[in-house]
Amino acid sequence: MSEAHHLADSLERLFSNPASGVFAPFINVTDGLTAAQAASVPAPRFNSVWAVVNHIWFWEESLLRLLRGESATPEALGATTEHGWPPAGSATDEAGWQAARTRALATNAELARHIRSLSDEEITQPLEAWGTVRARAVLSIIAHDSYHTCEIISLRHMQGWWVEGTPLT
Amino acid sequence: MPTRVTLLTPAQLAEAFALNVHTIIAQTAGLTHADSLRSSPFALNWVVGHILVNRDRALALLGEAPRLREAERTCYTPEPPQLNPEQAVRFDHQLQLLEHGQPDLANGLLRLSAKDWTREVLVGERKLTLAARLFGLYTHDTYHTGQTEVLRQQIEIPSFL
Repeated sequence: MSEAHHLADSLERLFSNPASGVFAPFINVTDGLTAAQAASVPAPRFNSVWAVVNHIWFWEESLLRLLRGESATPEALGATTEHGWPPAGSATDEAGWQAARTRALATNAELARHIRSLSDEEITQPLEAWGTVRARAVLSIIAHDSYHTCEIISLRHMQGWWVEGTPLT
Repeated sequence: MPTRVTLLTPAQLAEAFALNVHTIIAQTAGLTHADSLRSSPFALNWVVGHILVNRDRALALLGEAPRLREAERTCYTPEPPQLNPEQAVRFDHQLQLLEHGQPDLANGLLRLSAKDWTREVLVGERKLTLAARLFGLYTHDTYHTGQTEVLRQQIEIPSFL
């Protein structure tokens, strides 16, 4: 199995495998919410789950486009700044919420598929837009996903929407 | 074949762990021990203690001494998390352990040879390379570092608690 294949497996397993074994993954922690819940914030200045989902998607999609040799400007991905926070949708837009969640999962799967297709030589090539090499960019996305996944858990817990099967870890 | 993560170097992983320490210290600036027990449903104190337990696992793999004493560790290992405030480690001490443990973690990583980095370790029934195991512990570290951001926000909003 190639190094790129291993990286892709980690990216996908920690995100969309309900039995990832390390911690509750994105697919679990975003499950079972309505649009109103996903768009809600526990108090002013907090993020909503939906906003975090869009943020996670933004950075995975950015990396995917860059790896394909495409441009990835914030504006093209629905964000107004380079921090990458496309706004959450309306609390009444159930289809929009489900689409946002599905989009994040689909991008993760597509990013993993693309990484698997890279040779060991290709995965160590520079990714100039991020000032690093491709492999390190993938590892940083795995870390970024992890950081914000637990943020989602906390946002849910604060509002009383427990995540089944999560004694936190 | 064991799971591998060999494209990351030990030095890079040490930097990544250090960034989490930096983030946690920044997130918790100005918070008191009492603050660390106030967030709900999980105390920030429990989360940082849990991170320390996890880091002690990494230190053990690297042949370094754990930072938490056994009695302290047991406060942060039950699932689901239940923290007795009277047994909680002082928050400023937790942060010191985090900061002072980082150089040991980094030194342990930097001592590893290429052969060490790819040696197999067992996690339950899974065979992993040491690199993959340490990377898994790092993602766990990062996962809970993300939680500290939200808990700090919660503590800073008196009306929320």
